[in-house]
Amino acid sequence: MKRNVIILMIDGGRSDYALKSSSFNSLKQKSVFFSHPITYGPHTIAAMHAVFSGSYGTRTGTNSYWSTYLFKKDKFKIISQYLHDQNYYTVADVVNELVIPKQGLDEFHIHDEIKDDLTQRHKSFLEQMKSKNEQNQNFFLYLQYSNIHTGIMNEVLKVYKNYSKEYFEDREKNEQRYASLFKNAEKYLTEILQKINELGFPENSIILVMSDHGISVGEKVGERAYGAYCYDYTLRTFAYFMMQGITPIEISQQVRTIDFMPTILDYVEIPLDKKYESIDGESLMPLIKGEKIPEKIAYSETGNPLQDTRPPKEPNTKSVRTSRWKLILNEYDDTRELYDLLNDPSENKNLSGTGLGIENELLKKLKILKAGGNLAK
Amino acid sequence: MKQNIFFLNLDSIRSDKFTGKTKTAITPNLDKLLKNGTYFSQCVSSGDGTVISLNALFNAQFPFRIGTRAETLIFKNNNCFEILKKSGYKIYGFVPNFFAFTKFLNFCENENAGFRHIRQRNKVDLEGILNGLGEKMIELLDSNKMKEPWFFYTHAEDLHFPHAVPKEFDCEKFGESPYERILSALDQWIGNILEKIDTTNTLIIISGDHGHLIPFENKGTRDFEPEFKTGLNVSKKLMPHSTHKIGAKMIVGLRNKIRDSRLKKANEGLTPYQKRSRLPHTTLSLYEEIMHVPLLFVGINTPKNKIIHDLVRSLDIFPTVFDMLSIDTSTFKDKDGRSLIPMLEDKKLSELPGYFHTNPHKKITLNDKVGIRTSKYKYFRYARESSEKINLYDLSKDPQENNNIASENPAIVKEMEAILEGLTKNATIDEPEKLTKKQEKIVEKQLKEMGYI
Repeated sequence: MKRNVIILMIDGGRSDYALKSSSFNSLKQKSVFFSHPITYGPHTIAAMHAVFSGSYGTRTGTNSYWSTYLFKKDKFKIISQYLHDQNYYTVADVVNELVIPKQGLDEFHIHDEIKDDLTQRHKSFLEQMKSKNEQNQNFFLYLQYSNIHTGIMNEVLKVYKNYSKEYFEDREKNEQRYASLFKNAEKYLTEILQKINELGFPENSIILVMSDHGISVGEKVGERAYGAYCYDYTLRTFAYFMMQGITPIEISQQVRTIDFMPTILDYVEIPLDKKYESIDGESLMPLIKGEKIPEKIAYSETGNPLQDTRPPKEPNTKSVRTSRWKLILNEYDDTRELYDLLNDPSENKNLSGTGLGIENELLKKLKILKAGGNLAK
Repeated sequence: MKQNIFFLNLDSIRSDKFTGKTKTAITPNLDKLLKNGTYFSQCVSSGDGTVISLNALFNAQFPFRIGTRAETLIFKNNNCFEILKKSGYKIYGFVPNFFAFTKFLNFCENENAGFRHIRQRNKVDLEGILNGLGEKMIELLDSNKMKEPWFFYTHAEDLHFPHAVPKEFDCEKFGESPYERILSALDQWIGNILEKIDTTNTLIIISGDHGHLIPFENKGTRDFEPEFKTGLNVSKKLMPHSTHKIGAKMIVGLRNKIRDSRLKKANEGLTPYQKRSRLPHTTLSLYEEIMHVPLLFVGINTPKNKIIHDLVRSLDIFPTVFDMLSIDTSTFKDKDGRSLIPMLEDKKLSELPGYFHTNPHKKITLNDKVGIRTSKYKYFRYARESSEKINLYDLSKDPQENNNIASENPAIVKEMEAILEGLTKNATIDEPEKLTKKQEKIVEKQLKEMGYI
């Protein structure tokens, strides 16, 4: 039998909160911890379509809140299809019909983020998967923990506007709110991992604990939650890969969330299907095994609604990031931002236009990536 | 075993400079290819710019079905490269490393398929066959890394403005203009490249995306500009920094005035064709020097030393290739291009008109034109209004399009407009990347539920 695949997705999990969480930190002892994965889209729809397909939305068609139905399913084979084709039983439980592509899923469930007890619900899915293993069938289980989103939706999105002064002026309140929501995520994760242990899945599965994007606590006026800008507090995520036969290690090299799908396929030894489009991501297995691979530029994009109450249908702000630099191209007002992430991790000092050669270098790469190109060619 | 395909697309190549009476370049290798293959002497492109032209070529569809204002290459479902891939072809090639081409790079098996292409206000650095790309092509052909059957596509920009003539070719012997001298130099490289190809198992195609202006007496608009270098330097030193911007504007205005006056004088007595040859190379144009491109097939079942004078379109190229090589075209539907194989077999095909559109400049002006061409007439007008800027030329009597006969031939204008309207009447740009109304309602409801609206 091959290994099962379990993905626990903590929707809206901030990287910095995970780094100071004892529950998350305890995972480091039994996993390969990536501390710098960069998401393609700072909102779930674009982010997870990119993760499932291993490709940027610039090519798959899902590049905004609006474009789930535009996903080019005939051109991009997603992780659930790969596993389904190998006789895995494939199940997903998510918050909404739009958040992931559905191809290759045997069961697609939508939970009620307000009424459902996600911990109990997801434990129950895990138990059902145990029975699949007992019938000699592998499984793929994707579980979305959506309650950080629920809290943000009720207490921020429905209360404040994009530029509400009272939100941005009360940073402390925002941080407390987020900390409380994150605490609940920690509880959820602890219980779910305990269940996973009880069922013996660590021995026969690859388990990925990840977040799709971060959430603002009021860092930049104009973004009260996420999906408006390309700053690190939403682009930087976390990922813990638990699998047999690896030495726990922390990898601080920048990786991209589009690399997760090829990494999992590599681990379970499923080759990429050449009948479909080539993917943008690359397997991180060499890094996991302690080998070196060059850092890749991470591309991200989103649609800033500005004063509008609806997100735009096409991305209008785009960025490329290395571990040192980030260039943001704001197409909505034709401006650029360049940040030295090493010396200015909060992205406060815009160095665009100061004559740094890196700006044009990154701009050229951004133009290629935003047009769906491949930097390797 | 399927045959390989080598497609050399020469950016800016003009049909009248490739072969014929007005050609002055020395091209023994191209001449040899012409003897060994079939040449279409009346091939028209679909646009006066690279993107619009290539989109039509690669999708075998008229530009109005792909998007006449597209700024990047668009590969619709079942485009020509997808058909090749489905048929087992591995795609290799070289195109400019420019955002408009990035989607093409995804098809390429070879690394470094994007070559140096820098076009900035103060810096132009284009890697051409003459300065690096030729070597790369030979290296790839020599490498044994290409898996058969292969399709090797190169978009070479050597003939595109600005023209850098290699020293050894910069003399009259190799052509009257810098453009033609470059073509002479290119020919040598084409010979070197073709030496690396097994021509018994490879179909060779040479064509172009559009033509180019070659200034009369090698004097273009810019050559009439006065140089203000000394004046500028002195002014810069004397005047305070805050006045530099206004000063520069004034000087540019004065420079243009002097240039236009000199140009007007120098153009006295010239034909319209000669006059427009001196316009900047970015001028939107649907005249023959821009739209008429060469098309040459060599190898496989192509008759040798054959010239076909019937009107064809560059969007017929891929359907012809697929037919010639028996490539499965069951999913290659709804195309405007057609196979030209019957012509190769001396069978008569009914004439189909060429359709073309000017390159989409961001600012829409009256120079934004649309038109059609038959073997006898060229007709074009303002793209947004059928009664504006109407041009009609009788190509059989006036190949250089010097006499606009539209006003004295309303019946022909009407007939041509009817053909143009007929082509575009039921044409809507396919927009697969848009949600249906029903989908949009579903998404909107869900986004509301999640608090995003």
